[in-house]
Amino acid sequence: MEETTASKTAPAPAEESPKPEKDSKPEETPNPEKDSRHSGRKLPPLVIKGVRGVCFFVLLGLMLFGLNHVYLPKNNTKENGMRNASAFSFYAEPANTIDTMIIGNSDAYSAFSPMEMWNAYGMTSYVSGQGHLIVPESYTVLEQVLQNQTPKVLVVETDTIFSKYTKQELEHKTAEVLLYRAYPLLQNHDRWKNMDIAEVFQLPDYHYRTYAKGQYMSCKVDPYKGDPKKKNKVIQNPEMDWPVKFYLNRIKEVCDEKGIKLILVRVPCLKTRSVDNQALIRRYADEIGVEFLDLDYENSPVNINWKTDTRDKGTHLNCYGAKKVSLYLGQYLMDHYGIVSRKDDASVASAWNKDYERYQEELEKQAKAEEQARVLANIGK
Amino acid sequence: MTYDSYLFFAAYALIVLGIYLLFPLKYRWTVLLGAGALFCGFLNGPVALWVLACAGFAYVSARHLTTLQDRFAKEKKDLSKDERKALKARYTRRKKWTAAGGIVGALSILLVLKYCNFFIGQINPLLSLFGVTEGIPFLSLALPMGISYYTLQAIGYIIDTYRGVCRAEKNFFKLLLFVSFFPQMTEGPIARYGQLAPQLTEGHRYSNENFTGGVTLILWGFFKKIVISDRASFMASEVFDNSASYGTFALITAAVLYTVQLYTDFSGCIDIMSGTARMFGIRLPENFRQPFFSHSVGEFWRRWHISLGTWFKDYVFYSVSLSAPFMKLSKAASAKLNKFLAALLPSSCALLIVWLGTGLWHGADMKYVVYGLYYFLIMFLGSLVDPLGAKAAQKWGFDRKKGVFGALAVARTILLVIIGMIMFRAGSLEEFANYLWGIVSRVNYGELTGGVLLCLGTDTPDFIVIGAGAVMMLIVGIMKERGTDVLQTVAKGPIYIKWSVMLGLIAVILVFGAYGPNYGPVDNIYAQF
Repeated sequence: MEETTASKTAPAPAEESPKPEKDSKPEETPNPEKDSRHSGRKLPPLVIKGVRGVCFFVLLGLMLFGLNHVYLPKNNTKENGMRNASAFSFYAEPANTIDTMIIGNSDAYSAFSPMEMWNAYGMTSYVSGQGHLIVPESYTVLEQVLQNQTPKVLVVETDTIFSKYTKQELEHKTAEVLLYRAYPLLQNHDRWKNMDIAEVFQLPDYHYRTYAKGQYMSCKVDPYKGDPKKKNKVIQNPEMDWPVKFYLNRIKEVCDEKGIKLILVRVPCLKTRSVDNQALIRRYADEIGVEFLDLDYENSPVNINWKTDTRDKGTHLNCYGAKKVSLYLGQYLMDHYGIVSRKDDASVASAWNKDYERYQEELEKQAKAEEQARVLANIGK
Repeated sequence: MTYDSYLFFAAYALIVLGIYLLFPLKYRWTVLLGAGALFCGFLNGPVALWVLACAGFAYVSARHLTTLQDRFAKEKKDLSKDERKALKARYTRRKKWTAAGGIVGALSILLVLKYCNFFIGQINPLLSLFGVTEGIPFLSLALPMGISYYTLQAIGYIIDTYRGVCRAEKNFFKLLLFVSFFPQMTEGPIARYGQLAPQLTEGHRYSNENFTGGVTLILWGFFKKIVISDRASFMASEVFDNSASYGTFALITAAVLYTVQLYTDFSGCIDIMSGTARMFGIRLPENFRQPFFSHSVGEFWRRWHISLGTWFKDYVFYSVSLSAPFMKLSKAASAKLNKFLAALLPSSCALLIVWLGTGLWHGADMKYVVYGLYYFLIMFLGSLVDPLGAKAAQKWGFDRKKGVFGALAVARTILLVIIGMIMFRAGSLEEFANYLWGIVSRVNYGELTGGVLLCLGTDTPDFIVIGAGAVMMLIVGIMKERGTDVLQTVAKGPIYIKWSVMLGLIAVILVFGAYGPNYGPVDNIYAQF
């Protein structure tokens, strides 16, 4: 039953709140009685506090290190908890075998086909693409690439420059990216839900190679039905947010240090096509002294057919579009950036040829499935 | 504020503490003032300046009140009893006007910024009845974070000065510090001048006990917020946002999870704030005392958001109850009604005003008015039938707060609170009604057997973590009820216990916290008020 009077139902009296506290102990007051018990080996209280503080932080450090190790993916597969596993399979490639590294978002992993470039020109390349990747993240990817590879050319796909995030969100995301890079437990901790206990005691060994080398293979055709000529996002006074500019500059600096040639590339994408944005990138590229290769305009030499070369109405290219972009870019890099064929290098070629075979099989499988789906759809009509 | 904002806050507090300790004792309060100004400016931008206006009203009003008190004390000497009475009446009138001026000034900022659109929304339909079709346009005003908390604190100070509980602060900046102490800025607790101001200005030395006690409390707060609250929020959000799509069991589970979310979110953040203050040697008032152990809704509200409850009790309930019209009502009731009703009726009227105020304090929406009335009604009805329960307990010889009856009373309180929480969370009163109707009418056993409950943002491991966290909180709560404050015992205990608890909490938060790429940030609920 509820209380008898309304005053009883009123909240508790203020005097129940704690009283102001006077400090219990003065700072660093030595206790002669206590100290006398240790006579002969007295340490000043400040030293004792300092030693204790150091011990605490050592224990904390060990614990953080241990936890980080426990939850670190032990292989570069999705099953082992690696996020965007296909973007990071470059870890499994033998050291210094990737000559062209491509970093970007979904536009990149849809528009570049390392296997087509291998087949046509003997170029070894890898595309590390992640959906909604931001430029600061591209920088951390580059850092990881450089642990094992020293590519001759770095291609940065420029759609990442204009992300969907506001400036504040971008700053927030940048801080997150840097934190995750500094302490991976912060992004891996959730693995406790489905982690194999045996992994706790293993050391990381990233050996899972992918034959597609980071490409998202899709032969699906979902045409853009409008007029591609009319696609242009008008942006008044486009700007690069400071984290984007800062990390692009960092990427350039790192490339200069390592002797890597940097090139900015815009691949065909009707969804985000913007003359204003592309002009801004061109100005920026001139400013830092790198080339901006724009492939996203009407009558570009890539010659994308928006009826057949896109898998989602002009947002991303499919495998047919990827082949066109890759063949063009491959030739361009060979002509202008000194990339040479590795087909004569037996140690590389045998593995890459096998990968190409698997790539072809997958393409044929997908093309067949698409064809069947089309036939079925026509029967349905 | 989300979990990462709190991390930022904790780092900020540590830097401020470092600077605080570098200053001479006498001037350490200036560091807190500067930190508050920076924090407030960072949170609110230019609208942070409203805190100055609020403190300004409190300062001028309280200073004048103390002057009047002093003048009265001086003038009343050598006067006859009648003259003294007349003088007192005159001064009381002046004091009332002075206090009212300060209160209206401080309150008007809150009313304009937070409630004007609510009132416009209520007035416009009335205007349309008189043929005014255009109505008053809605205003777009930025609401400074924490305004509901510091305004009440400033008003409390004016009333305390009026009542002679404290004397006005001469230094405006010291008063400003009381109104804008940075750990309280976003979610309270709402402190009293006499409790807090002396602690803020006296300057504290570093104390190991305060520091470790503060850090432990902060970690405990993070545990509640990141491990339990944020994890519970995903299913609650999914089901509340799409309540029409779910049946009885999902709706009940989401309501329970939301109750857990709100409690751990609010009390966790208060722990972070109190722990921060504690590192500086400052004790903030208690805001929660195991509310889910309450045997009645009234008791629940004496244990939940205590500082708000006591504020309304001391400054609204008593002010209204002791006002001339209510004294008259009380007299009239005593003359015409029996003893029980004569006591109940006037106090219930005052309580009604308190609950309308409490409801509206939570938000400028009719939903919150009804939310306040809901609790008023439960308490009023409880008061009406309580004598029957007392008689039955006496007749059959059982203790209503122990054994099965005690457990039933606790369960009943929790049930009533959960219904209140559904109203609190629902987008509107209509949604609230539909939610309750859904619980009653959409019984779908498939939700229990088909695993639907585990596909709504909270899976089995999540439920295990929430459950284990709740059990931990329950154990700590039971021990506190029995007089052992576990966290303070830890802070005072041997070093190996202290370190084990601190490192253990850090590990649990890092591993089981609902943060990172798989989780979106979850805004703190009470910071919106």
